[in-house]
Amino acid sequence: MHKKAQQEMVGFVLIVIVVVIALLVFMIFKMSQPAKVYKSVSADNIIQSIMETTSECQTSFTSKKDSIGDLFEKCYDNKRCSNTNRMACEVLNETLTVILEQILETDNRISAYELNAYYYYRDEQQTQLMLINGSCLGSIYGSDPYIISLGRDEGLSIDLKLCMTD
Amino acid sequence: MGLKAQFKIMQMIFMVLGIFLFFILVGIFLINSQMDGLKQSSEDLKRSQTLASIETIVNSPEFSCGGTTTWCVDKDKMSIMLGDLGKKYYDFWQISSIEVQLIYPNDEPEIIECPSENCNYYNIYEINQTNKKTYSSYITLCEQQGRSSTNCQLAKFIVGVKNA
Repeated sequence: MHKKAQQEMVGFVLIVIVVVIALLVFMIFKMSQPAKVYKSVSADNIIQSIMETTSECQTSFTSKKDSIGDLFEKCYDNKRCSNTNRMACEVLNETLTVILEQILETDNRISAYELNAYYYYRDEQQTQLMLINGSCLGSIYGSDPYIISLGRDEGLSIDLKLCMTD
Repeated sequence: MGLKAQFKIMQMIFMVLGIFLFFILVGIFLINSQMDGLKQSSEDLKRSQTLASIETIVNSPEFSCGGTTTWCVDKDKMSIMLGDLGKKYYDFWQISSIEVQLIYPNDEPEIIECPSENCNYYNIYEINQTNKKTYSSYITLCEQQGRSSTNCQLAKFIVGVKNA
């Protein structure tokens, strides 16, 4: 009789252990998954507007200053601004940082941002630019990739992720 | 013997209750995660509807830069809309206020209303309404400079609507 009670206890403990292990495996699996990025029209709107904004860089010898979108292309071609003699990549990095910081400051829905610009070289993804700042307290919303065509089947892809509170 | 059987029945009831509770908790967890996705979709739908409404105003002939560019406001057209002319559009758009706040380039930490030097804020029109909610989207505020050059600034287009 005493032995039977012991057997039941062992059985119960085994069930508890199995359930705890299953829960742990589930939790580890959930935690290791990257945070879900929701598609957002707000992020699309921001990236489109940023790309059309005029920068301080003038790469051609006309009076026309380049837009941020043009500057990505000039940075890829490793060009220099003729008006300031600075590298296009340097100006691009600086301008985007100022813009995104300003957005972070003025828009209280946004608590963090991540901007990635990349291209493919010999089928390998190469990062052109990556800007991250802020701490994420809400859900992550991402834009559709903004594509800048460079001809010869090449292109730059830019995407923006924003951490927004609902 | 009768007591032992009762004890066994109680043990079984506790076990069944435990399993039942466990599955209820798992169910709540799953429903919660599904609802979270649904909530996100509804939020995004709400945002896209708001943006679509703002886009209609931004792309109207009164503000639009023309051409195929979306989210582009002509600075000259906007300057004409400032003040009394803008107010006349209240009946048409049914919008309590339209404001434009400059984001880049903007070196001023404080809001300086236009027209003035180094200004960064345009109050296109405002109808005094107490219960008002504001919605915003990002635009490029473009100005023709010379024959072929256009200068575009990044700005926030803010519309206020009467809270129902």
